[in-house]
Amino acid sequence: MLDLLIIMVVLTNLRLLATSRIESLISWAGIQGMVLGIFALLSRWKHLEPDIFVVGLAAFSFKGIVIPAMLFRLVVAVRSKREADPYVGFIASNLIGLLAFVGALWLGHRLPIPGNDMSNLVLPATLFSIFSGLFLIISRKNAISQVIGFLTMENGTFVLGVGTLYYAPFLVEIGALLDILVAVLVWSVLIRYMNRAFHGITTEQLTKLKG
Amino acid sequence: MTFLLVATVLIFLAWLLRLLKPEDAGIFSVGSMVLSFSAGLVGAVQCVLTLTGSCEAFFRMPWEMPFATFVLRIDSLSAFFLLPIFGIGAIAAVFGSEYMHSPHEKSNLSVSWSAYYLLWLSMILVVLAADGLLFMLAWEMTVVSSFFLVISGDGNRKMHAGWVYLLASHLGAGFLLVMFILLGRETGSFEFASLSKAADFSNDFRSLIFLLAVIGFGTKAGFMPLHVWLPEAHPAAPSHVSALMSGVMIKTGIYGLIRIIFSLGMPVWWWGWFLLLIGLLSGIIAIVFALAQHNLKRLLAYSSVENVGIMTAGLGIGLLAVNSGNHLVALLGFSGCLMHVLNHAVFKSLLFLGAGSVLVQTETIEIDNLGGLFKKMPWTAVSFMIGCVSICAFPPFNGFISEFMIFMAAFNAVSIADSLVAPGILVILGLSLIGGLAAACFAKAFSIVFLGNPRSYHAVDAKESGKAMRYSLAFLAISCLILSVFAPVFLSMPFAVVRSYAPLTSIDLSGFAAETARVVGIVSLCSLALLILTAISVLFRQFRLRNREIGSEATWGCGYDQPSVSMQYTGASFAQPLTELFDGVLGIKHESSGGDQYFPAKASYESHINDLFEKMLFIPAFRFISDSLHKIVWIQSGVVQLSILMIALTLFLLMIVGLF
Repeated sequence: MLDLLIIMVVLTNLRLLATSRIESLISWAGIQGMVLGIFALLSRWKHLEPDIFVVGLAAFSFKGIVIPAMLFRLVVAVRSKREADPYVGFIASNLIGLLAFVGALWLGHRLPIPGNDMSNLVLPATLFSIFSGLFLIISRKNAISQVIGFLTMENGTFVLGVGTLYYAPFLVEIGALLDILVAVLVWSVLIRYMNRAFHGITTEQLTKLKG
Repeated sequence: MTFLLVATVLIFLAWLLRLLKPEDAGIFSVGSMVLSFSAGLVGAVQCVLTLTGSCEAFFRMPWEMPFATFVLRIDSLSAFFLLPIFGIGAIAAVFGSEYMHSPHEKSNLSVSWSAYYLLWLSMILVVLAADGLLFMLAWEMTVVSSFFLVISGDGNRKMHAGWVYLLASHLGAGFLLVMFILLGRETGSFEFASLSKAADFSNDFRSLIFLLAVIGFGTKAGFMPLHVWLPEAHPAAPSHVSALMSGVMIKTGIYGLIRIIFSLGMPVWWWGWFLLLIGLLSGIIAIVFALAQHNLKRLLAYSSVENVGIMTAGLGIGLLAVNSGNHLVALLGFSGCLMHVLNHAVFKSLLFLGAGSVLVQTETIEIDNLGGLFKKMPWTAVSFMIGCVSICAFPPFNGFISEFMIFMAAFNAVSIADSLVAPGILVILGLSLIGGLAAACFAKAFSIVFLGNPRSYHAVDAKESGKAMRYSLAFLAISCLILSVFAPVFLSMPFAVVRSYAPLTSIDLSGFAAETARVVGIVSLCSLALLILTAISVLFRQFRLRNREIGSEATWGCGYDQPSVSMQYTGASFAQPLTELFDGVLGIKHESSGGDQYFPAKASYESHINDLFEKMLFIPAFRFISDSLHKIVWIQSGVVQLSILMIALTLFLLMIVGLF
């Protein structure tokens, strides 16, 4: 069951790499967040303690509902182009993603992590999520897709965090969740300003800032 | 340590009073002035106690800073350098409390005073710090606080000066950091107490440390060609700060150099030669540049480089003598260097404060716009004259004593030691040349500024400055005299420092010390006699002129019926015979028009001078660096994605490296 959820995370990552529309990027990021929340809840289902319950619920609501809602409102507010404007095409992105997943599987076997008592897939999924997030940031021009990229990277570390929750304290997880919430808040303000200053939110305009 | 603690608390209180009411020129300013002055006195007491009774004090405090420990230590060397820091710091604070309220100064008073007191406190910390990292921290604090003082006020020139200063200081500090890290790695600790272990290391390692120290500390002290920041920063800073920077701050460079040399044990043979040549070259070139300057404070800044050169030459011949076992020469060289540190601190701050007094009254510091100030500002003029006489090393003032000691070292070197003949002759020749040129330079500075008639409207309406400025000038002028007349008493202080040098601790220097004190005592007596003679002749003149009619004529009137002020010598024309002689070094640019017809017509003449090293060395070097960096600036494309890609690649490479 847990493996299935982790595989769903991996699949949503691939879907994110292949998505061209901003709205569906946000939706898929939200779906990934929900999957992670369920993953956190199910991971210790047999002896569910209150702190794990809170982490799972918070992840589900923040990553799955609140943040996507904020981003949707942002898209409307800045009347963004609905394309993600890739530097690297979607099929190429997906192929690179698949290669990276193979790499992540291989690396995950080489790196034993302490306290992983759930699944061998935890570390590869983490590495792959981080890679997908970085790749989204690097290869897309639209500022909102950069935010999605960051969220994906964070989701990756969340997988690892839940996988080793006995070792990573509860406070750290909740703290990280709140951090992302604030980060997204700040970004939505920044992107609004960017839209006002450059009449658009493609990051190519940012080169004008160079001294 | 109690005195030091009290002095520090007093300084903080003085600072607090300034911050409470920065614009106030009344009770708050006076209170702060009094507190600063008493801080100086109390601190000086601690220095004298340490130097005479050699009661060393030690203070250690727990500190979270990694690798560093908060250790303060006052030994004879630090006490010797602490003395001018307390003294000049206090006097400059007194002077500044009036100076900063003059309409000429436009900087924010609370920022300016905060930076001043921070500079003062951090300099105290520099000489007290007994840990490499604590030292570097205090060192950086002096740089940053004085940087703010240099750029305070307005003007593009100030920003340029500030950047040159900041850049030079940080390049120097970089060398020092490398030096401390190397020493820390080899001796196992950054504490100065473990530095003495460095004496046992190989010659190559010690020479490397020595070179790093010379470059790093030399940038602060102003060795040629690392001196370029001095003529920029000193004119830009407020005058009492220039006094503190030139009189005291650059000496922290000398302090650091001596501290490192003293901990490196027996010197390698070429160290003394190296310092000797640097010192003499700095001295000669700098005084030639000083001679050609049009700006009084720039002239004084170059003269500071010259004086640091003299100190370094003394240090150099001392090291050579230690190396060849001539302990009398070593004692004379080192203590001459140290006495010159003290004397230069007094007369150079006197000169800068005098220039500040002139600046406040006339709002200009261009020598050729001044003139005739003697009659209008007698206090300033007389004290500036005393400063000039001292800096030219003429008796009966203090500059003579220290240069006399270095000369004594050189003559003894020539007469008693075969191996020291060459350096001895070099020092004698170099110092004589420097002395002659310095006399010409300060004859120019004093006569053009204070004698003759006003050369421009700036100087016409000048009045004498107020009490705080006058009294601080007088205090320093009298100190010049005291340091000369009671020189044998003060000599025990540098002797105490020299005795702490490891190769000399086991040797009985008391005979040499007594001999030196005897000879210096004769010089002091002669000075006193000269002084009394002068006083008598002045009184005699007064007596003879009594009840007589005294006429007055224009100075340098040359018998003209209608002399005009433009007929007077200008600074440039006064120095011209000498500046032409050294034109190869100076590279003065002349621009003139008219003046060659039979009948008088409108004519003009201008001359400009640039610093040789700045123009030929630093500007091309920095241009080369910036050009080469322009070639790789494409890396910084400004595209966010590329920057993140580079970070990601770096992380990936690091992971690969970590895995395999």
